[in-house]
Amino acid sequence: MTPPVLPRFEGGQRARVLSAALGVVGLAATALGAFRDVREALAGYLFGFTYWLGLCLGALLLLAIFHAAKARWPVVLRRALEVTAATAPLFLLLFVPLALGLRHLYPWVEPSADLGEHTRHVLEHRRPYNNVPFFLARAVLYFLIWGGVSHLLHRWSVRQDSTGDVRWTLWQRRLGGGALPALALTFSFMTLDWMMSLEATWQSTVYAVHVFSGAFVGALALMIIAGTATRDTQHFGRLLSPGHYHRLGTLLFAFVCFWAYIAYSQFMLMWVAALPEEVGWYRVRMGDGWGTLSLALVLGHFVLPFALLLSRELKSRPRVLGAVALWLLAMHAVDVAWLLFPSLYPGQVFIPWTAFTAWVGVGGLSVAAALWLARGTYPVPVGDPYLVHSLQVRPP
Amino acid sequence: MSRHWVLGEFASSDALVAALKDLRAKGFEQLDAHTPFPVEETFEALGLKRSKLPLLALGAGLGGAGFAYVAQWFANAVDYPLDVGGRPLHSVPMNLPITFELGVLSAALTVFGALMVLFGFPHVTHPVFDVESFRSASVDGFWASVAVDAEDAPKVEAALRELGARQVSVVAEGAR
Repeated sequence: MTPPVLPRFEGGQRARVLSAALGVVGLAATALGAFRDVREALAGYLFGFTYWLGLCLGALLLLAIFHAAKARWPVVLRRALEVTAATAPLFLLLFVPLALGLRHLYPWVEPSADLGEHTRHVLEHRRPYNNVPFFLARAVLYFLIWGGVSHLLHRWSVRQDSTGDVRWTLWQRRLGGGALPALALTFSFMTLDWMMSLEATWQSTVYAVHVFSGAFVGALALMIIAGTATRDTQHFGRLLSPGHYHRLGTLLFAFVCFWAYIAYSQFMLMWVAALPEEVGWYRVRMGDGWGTLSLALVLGHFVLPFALLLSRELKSRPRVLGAVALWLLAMHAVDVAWLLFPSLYPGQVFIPWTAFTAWVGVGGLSVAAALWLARGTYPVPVGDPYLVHSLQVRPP
Repeated sequence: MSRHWVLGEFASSDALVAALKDLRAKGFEQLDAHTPFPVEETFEALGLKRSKLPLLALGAGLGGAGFAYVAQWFANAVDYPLDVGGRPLHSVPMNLPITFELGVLSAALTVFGALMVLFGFPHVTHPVFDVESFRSASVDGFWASVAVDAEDAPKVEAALRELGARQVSVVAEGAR
C-alpha cells in the first residue's frame, strides 16, 4: 500500500486575490473618510489595525509557547500558526498612517489647553517617555523583534520540510522559548503605547494582560476556524482529529476564563478603591450607551461561551466548535472596540463607520498576506519528527 | 442471594469488544471491561449511560454559589450594616469572588464525595482481585466481567466460553 501523498498548498489564489481586493477597497474607503474627518478615519483605522495585529501576535505567542513547551500534539497546526505570525512585517507598513496621524489620536502629542492644569502637568512629567521620536523608535523595535522571530520560525520550519533535519526543531525551540520574554515585553509596551495612551492620565497595570488574553482567545479561535474551513479540502483541516479540536477547545475555554478573570479583577480593584484618577475609565463604560456594550461583552465574551465550552462533546465536534470560535472572533472585535472607542469618544456613544471599512481593509490584506506566505509550502510541517505523534492525537 | 461476577479473558481488544456486544445482545446488562490500556470501543460496547456526576456537580456548584451570595448579602446589608466610606452596603462586584470560590469548592467537594460513594468507599477492594489470573488485566489480558445472580452464573460461563474466552472464572460476593 502506498501512503497517501500530501499535496503542497497550491490553491488559495482566488481567496488571496479576493481578500487582497477587499483589503484595498476597505483601506481606500477609510482613506476617503479621512477627507471628511481625519480623527474619525484614524480612530476607525486604529481599531482595524489593533484587532488584526492582535491576532497575528496572538498566533506568534502561541507558536513560541508551543516551542517552549516542546509540545508535540499541535505540530499539525504549526504551519497555520507560522504563516499567521509571519504577517507581522505587513503591519509595519500598515502602521505608517497611524505614525503620520499621531496628533489626531493621542492627547500627549500636543496637550490642548482644555485638558486642565493637572492633566497637562502629568503629561509634561511623562514627556521623556511619551514623545514622538521615542514612540516611533519603540514601534520600530517592536516590529524588528516580531518580524525577526516570526520570519525565522517560519523559515526554519519550511526548511525542515525538505531535509527533515532534527536540527531545525532544536533551533525553533531555542528561539521560540528564548524569545518569549522579549515578545511578552514588546506586546505589553505596544498596548501601553498604542492603546492605553489614548487616555491622558488613566493607567492600569493589568491593561496589557487584558489585551493579550483577548488576542490569545482570538488566535485560538482563528486556528479552529482555519481547521474547520479546510475540513473538506486536502489541506491541514483534513488532518485535524476530534482530539485536536478537543484540545483547542479546552485552551479556548481556559483563555475565555482568563480574559474574564483579568477584566474582572481590574474592574473590581478600581471599583472598590474608587480613586478619582481611576474610576473615570469605568464611569464612561458604565454610562448610558457604553454600558450596554459592556453588558454585551460580559454576556457574549464570557457567560455564553463559558456555558457552551463546558460541554466535552461540543469541544470535539469541529462544526459546533467552529461556530463558537466564530462567535468569539466577533466578540473579540467588541472587546477591542470597547477598549478603544470610549477612550476616543468619552462624551458620546459613537463608533465611526471607518471602523468597519478599516476592519475589512486591514483584515483583507493580512489574510491575503498569510495565504501568500503559505503558497507552495506544505500545509503541515512534514519534516517535523513529531508530526506522526501529532496525527495520532485522540480525545483524552 | 449473593451477587456473582463471571470473568472471561480475551486475547485482544477486538475480541473483547465483539464479546461485549454479543453479551449485551443476549440480554446481560451489568457488564464491565478491564483492559491494560483504555480501549475506546469498549465505552460504546458497554452501552454506558451518561454519568450523573456532572449534573450533581452543577447542582452543588450553583447551590454553593447561591449560599455564598445570600450569606454575604445578609451579613453586610441586613444583619450588620457597616458604612465604609459611603460604599453601598449591598455591593455586587465585591460579592462575586467569594460566590465564585464557594461555587467551585462545593462542586469539587461534591465530585470527590460522590465518587467515593460510587466507588463503594468503605470497601477498598473488589472480589475480582481475588482471582490470581485477573492480574493479566494490567499486562496483556482483556477481561469482560458480567455481574449476575448465582443461578445465572453457569449460563454466562457457557456464553463466555462460546465467545472464545481464554479462561473463565466465577467470583462470589463474600466478605470483602
